[in-house]
Amino acid sequence: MLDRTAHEALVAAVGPENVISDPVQLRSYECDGLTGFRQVPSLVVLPHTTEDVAQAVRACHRHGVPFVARGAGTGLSGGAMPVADGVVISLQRMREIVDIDPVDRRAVLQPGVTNLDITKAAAAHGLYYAPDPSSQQVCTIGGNVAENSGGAHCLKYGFTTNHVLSMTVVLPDGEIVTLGGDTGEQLGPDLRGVVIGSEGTLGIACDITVRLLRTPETVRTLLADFPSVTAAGDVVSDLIAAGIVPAAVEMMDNLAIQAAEKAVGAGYTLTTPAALVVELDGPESECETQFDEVRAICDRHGCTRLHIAETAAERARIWKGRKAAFAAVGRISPDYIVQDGVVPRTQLAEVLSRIEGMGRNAGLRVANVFHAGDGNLHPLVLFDEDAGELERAEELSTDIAELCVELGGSLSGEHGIGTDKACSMPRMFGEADLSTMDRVRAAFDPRHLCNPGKLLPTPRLCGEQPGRYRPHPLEEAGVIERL
Amino acid sequence: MTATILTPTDLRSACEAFTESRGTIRIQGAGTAATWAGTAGTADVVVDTTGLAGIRSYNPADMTVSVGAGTPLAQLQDEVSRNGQRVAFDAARVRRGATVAGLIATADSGPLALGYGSMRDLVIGATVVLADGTPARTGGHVIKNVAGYDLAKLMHGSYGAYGLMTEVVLRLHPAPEVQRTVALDCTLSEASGHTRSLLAEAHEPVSVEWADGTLLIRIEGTADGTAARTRALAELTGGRALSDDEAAESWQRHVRLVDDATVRIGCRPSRLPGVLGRFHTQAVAGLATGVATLSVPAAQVGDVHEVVTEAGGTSVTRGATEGQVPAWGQQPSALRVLQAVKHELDPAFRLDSGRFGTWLEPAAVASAGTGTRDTSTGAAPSVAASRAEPRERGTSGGEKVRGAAEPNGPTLGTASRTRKPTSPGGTGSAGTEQEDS
Ligand SMILES: Cc1cc2nc3c(=O)[nH]c(=O)nc-3n(C[C@H](O)[C@H](O)[C@H](O)COP(=O)(O)OP(=O)(O)OC[C@H]3O[C@@H](n4cnc5c(N)ncnc54)[C@H](O)[C@@H]3O)c2cc1C
Ligand SMILES: Cc1cc2nc3c(=O)[nH]c(=O)nc-3n(C[C@H](O)[C@H](O)[C@H](O)COP(=O)(O)OP(=O)(O)OC[C@H]3O[C@@H](n4cnc5c(N)ncnc54)[C@H](O)[C@@H]3O)c2cc1C
Repeated sequence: MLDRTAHEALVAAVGPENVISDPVQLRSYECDGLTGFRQVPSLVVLPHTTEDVAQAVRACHRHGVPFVARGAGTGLSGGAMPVADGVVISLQRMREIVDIDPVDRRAVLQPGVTNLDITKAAAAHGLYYAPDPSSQQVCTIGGNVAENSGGAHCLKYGFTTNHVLSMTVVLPDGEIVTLGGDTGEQLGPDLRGVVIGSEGTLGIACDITVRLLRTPETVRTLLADFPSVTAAGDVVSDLIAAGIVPAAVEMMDNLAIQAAEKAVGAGYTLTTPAALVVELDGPESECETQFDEVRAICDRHGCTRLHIAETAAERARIWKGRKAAFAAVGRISPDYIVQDGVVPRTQLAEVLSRIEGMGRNAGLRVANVFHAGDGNLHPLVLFDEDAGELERAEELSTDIAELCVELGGSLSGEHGIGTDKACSMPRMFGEADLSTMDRVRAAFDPRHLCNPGKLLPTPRLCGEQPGRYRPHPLEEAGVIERL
Repeated sequence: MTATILTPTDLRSACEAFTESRGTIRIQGAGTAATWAGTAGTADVVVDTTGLAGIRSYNPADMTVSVGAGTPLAQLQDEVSRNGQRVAFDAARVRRGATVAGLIATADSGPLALGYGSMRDLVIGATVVLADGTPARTGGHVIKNVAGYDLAKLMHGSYGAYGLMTEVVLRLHPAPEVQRTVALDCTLSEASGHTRSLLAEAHEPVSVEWADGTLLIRIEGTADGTAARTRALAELTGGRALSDDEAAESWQRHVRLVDDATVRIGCRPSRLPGVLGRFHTQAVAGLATGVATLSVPAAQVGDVHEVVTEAGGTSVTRGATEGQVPAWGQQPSALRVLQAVKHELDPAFRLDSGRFGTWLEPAAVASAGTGTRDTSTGAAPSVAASRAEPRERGTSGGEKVRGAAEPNGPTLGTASRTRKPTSPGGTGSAGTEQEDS
């Protein structure tokens, strides 16, 4: 519980009509998209302006109350999970598109604007906002900034960090600063780039200025079936080797296809072991030449069916199947865990066959649907809790994430560390790496009030003993050195 | 007093350069930016990065490369070009031998920034040695990675004030089959008008630069595709498609103009003509990026700072300026955070970049209260006091339960799961005892 003076200060900061303290209503804020971690907050405040946010944060700072920013709550790593005796600062009422500037091609947004609404507003000018997480209909630009979100088209266009020019940030003591500027030029070190992807631990992003791109002239999309996951993986390698940078390359294995077909009937082949969605975009003349190359590469690897979207509606249908895959897995399994890891692109075949073996050993099915072009896997571990499979599933899922690190990759490509993977961080980073990150955090938030307990391992979450240092696999391979 | 020059060749000797030396330290690359943003003062120790050179790991099929931080970028380009790849970055001083880390530390960029961004957009990992000799890694070897803070960003534009980069991992791109340039002699405001109309079309230029009287538009792609687009662009602007030799010459002139400049500015592209129009001088302007360089006499640098600041932009000197001309036009809004980071990473102020005027000087950092100022009261508790505060707030008390409730708001299906902590972990206290200096 908040003490009375803290409570009053927060109510005064945003106004009583923008505060939720009813226990029943508070419960709807107890978790994000990763519903296994829950904590009911003491209070939720819903500011309307940057100044409101600053007032609320100042009140928290003055009274030593921890706070957690929250966008749409679609995060998948427990990043927006509240903190015990803490406050949630929900940005859902800050949904104004402040400005769309078609000349300098940028948009200024309040943090609660949804990702897709940016593109909707820019479309009238022939512009769009490139990063496109699958959750784009609901997730907020503030949440995207915090997670450095990506999406299917980030292979060619980059992630959130490559598209944010500047933002006002309410620092953990309530001061409002601007990070970044009107161009890529910087006044000293790039703090904007540090805050993007910091999972809400360094401050609250408010007015966010993003770059808008011109809508590409042509988009070409194909759906190709392959006799094996390995063959599909080889296509990805060959595309890259051929110097083609597709807008997107997505892979689905048979389980994922079955699930997606059951859910949305997007015209995928139910029996195929693997399918790729390849999309090219750009000037028409470039696109056509490269599209022919893509088809040739698909054929070379035994493509069994090649479906080219001839209309926008057909393209949308292919994407619907892909984007529905996560949720659709619920149709073929009572429970499932979404994992998120990255491997170097040349390790795709290796990681997939190892995952298959690990699944077999654990007696669990793993569906794979992922951003193949940048090696970002989303293995879905299927299990039945009623059959007592939860623990095995969790173990398998964790092992898969750590396998990615072992193969020279990363614990997370887009969902973040949050609460979920904080304790796995020592697998990827050594003590000195983590303590350096902690120093940076202390520079922003010396009192540990801003989304505490997330991202970096803490003794409370992970046990008192700091993780014994294990050499990074790349270190063992002599690729990187420590000392 | 002459400085001791240390030339580490690997991570161990880089750490030792800090732990086994005393006094202030200046990090020096190839020296191609020696007079940018002010001139570095004297230091007791100079760490020369050029021994940290060469490719550490390169698997062309992954399109990533890890290199010693002191590797000249031009040399790296040569190596990766053998595999039809490139670092999509072309700042003017690359040709003069600038090092990978020097380019990052100065937040430099070239015309390709329109298409590919700057080094910050290409760096996917780094190893940094802090002033106390702590080696820290950030990022990794994969192009997509959100694990942990992205400390490579912190090094971008740090001018050697936060730490020594020893190794950098870069994302590579396929080298384009063909590059073509359309050129048109015109005034800056005409060029600005052309830029607007060509950006409204879908020709996807990778560079749009006005080089003191000539608009240069560069596109890249396949032989056929670029031929069609070149024609369209020439028609649209009334410009001319250059031959390869002509194009090379025009871009070399661009490089020379940038190298000669004394001030670098950035402001909204639409404001560039107005800003540059105030100074009748040699200039180069990225009309789609908003980044420009101009050559003004030292006496006029102050005016440039003023005009650019008024236009909401940034400006910094890029050449030796005599007298008391400030290096930077405006002060960063989050200066206090920059100071707090300096205090955390280099509390003894050993790394002396001399590049940020007084921003990061000990007195400034101390009086800023390093992130602990209570803005509501103006009270500024000391750093020591704030660091001594108990840290147990830094834990979340999330109880683990499992249930069917959906998160608030989203209508998308989400996974329901629980998770047990896997491996034990934890970080030590951030404060590190600092060798005196
Ligand atoms: C079905 C589904 C598909 C998804 N697909 C993708 C995908 O393709 N790519 C991808 O990258 N992610 C994906 N995600 C994950 C998630 O949607 C993204 O991480 C998204 O950016 C979270 O936005 P949000 O508004 O829901 O943030 P929340 O979940 O509310 O918060 C996420 C984190 O951001 C912080 N935060 C929120 N707003 C702010 C702010 N204004 N300032 C500072 N911190 C803030 C929170 O404290 C929290 O730590 C998916 C999720 C789901 C459920
Ligand atoms: C050939 C040569 C001639 C010189 N002549 C003169 C002279 O006439 N007069 C004079 O006063 N001085 C001279 N110097 C010294 C010169 O002033 C210093 O080299 C200069 O201060 C440093 O250049 P630089 O590091 O800025 O250039 P760059 O190497 O381009 O570095 C730019 C910035 O990046 C930072 N940086 C570079 N590498 C790293 C890294 N790995 N990690 C973190 N930060 C990094 C640097 O600290 C610097 O702030 C000369 C040096 C050289 C090499």
